[in-house]
Amino acid sequence: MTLLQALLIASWAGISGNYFMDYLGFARPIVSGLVIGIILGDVTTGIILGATIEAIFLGIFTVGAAIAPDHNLAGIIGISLGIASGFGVETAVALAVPAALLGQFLMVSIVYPLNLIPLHLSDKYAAQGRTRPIEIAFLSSGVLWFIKGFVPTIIATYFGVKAVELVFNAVPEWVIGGFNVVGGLLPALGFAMLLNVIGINGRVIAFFALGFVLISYLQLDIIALAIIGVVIAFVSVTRNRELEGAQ
Amino acid sequence: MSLKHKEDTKDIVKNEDVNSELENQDIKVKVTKKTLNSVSRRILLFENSVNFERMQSLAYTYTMIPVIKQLYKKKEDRKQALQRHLEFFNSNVSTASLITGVSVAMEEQKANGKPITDESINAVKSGLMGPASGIGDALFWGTFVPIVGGIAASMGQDGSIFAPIFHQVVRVGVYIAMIFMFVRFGYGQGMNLFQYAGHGAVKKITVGAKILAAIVIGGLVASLVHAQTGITFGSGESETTLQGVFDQILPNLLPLSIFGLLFYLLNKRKWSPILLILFVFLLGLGASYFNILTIGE
Repeated sequence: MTLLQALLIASWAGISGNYFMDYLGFARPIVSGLVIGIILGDVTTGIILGATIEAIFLGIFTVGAAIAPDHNLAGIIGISLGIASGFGVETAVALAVPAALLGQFLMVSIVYPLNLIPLHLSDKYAAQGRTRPIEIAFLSSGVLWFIKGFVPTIIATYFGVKAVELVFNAVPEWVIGGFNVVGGLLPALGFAMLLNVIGINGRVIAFFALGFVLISYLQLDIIALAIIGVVIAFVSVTRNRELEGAQ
Repeated sequence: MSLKHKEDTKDIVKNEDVNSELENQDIKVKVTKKTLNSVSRRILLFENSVNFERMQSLAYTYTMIPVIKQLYKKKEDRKQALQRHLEFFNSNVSTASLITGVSVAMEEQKANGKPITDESINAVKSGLMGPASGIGDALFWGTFVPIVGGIAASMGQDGSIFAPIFHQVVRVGVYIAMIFMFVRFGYGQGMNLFQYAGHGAVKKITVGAKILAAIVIGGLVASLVHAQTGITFGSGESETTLQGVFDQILPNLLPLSIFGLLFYLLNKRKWSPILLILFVFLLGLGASYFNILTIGE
């Protein structure tokens, strides 16, 4: 990895790691897979690694005022070191979870607390009835988000490749294979958490079973399943007035 | 009875006509379409300044600034408007756009001399932000985001470039359309928005989203969870793989079983997510050491 590549990836981490980019979808690992794949010249591997980490973090999301593990940093560090070290999925999976917790820690300890500075400055400007300085104060918070993504990524990408190569060459084969297995299993946890949020009852299990069977036995495309899902959801919650009138 | 009722409604209708005529005469300053669009664009940056003290209050103020500048020309009025929006606010951004629309409508009425206090503007905000985050978190983060992400992750497993492109076209397109529509809807409805909090349509959408999510999660367990066993019986020509037996019973039996186990530990045993992540790592590494599980093809 050249310094220029590391700088580009770290800048992407600084931009896409902002919370508002999460609402726009740019923070997701699947998108970082494409961007980092282009920067490192291996789009296919980038997207494969992005899809793997995306699947792991599908079910983990923020509710209310809580701060969730940082799937953005997880994706960026996992994908870039996965490509650069040549160890692929195993490295990505092994690094994604610690990177997510690091990003969460930086948000709790740096971004959220330091965002009080623009807030309190704005209190002052509001008392003077001035709008422009408040706008600048608000926008300046972007710097904190940029640092949150940029600093850990530049360290991890520029200095981490050697470390990853060292560690992964030293550990036994079954450990590396084990991370591969973990990467296959972890998405199940996210889906369990999603289903847990929906709440479980007989009908939910029936709908779940329908989706599972349509993919498992019929190998439907997942988009086809989503369309079938929309149709079933629509039919379930609407009533047919004509049929009811005919009674 | 019914006749009297009809007359009553007639009276009300008449009164409303008179009222709306009065209102039209009263309106001196109006929020333009351009300003509404500027509010919508600013909402896209909403979480930038989030903090533990007042969460999204600065973002809310930033969003309202074009409205404040258009409606209030006096410094004192601007000061009051800026200060009232710097009060605590926290909600899901996708649905908070509805509340912003309502605030714009209320500011407009206030600027035209209607008896609306700082407290009532903030009371409406804090009254709506709870239900809005509940619905927004469940529908946006709990349904829309994982379904689009799940589809993209399935598409991207072989490195297809369409996976991230599909993801962003849907995520950006739907989100921006929603924000612009919701700001307008909130502005048009004003305080009437409260009546939608327990509305039948909202319930139907929530139930429908849960059904859709349950179906897609079932499919994603089959397509994105990977586990195969490498255990074999016998030797030579009579060698059979345990995976082959499983596949005859039910394809993806192992992914389904692991999903079931994790769901049981989460739902019934109340294990925390961090503990479950550790459990999955130990399970995967242990199964790899004893050569029980492989990733498969």
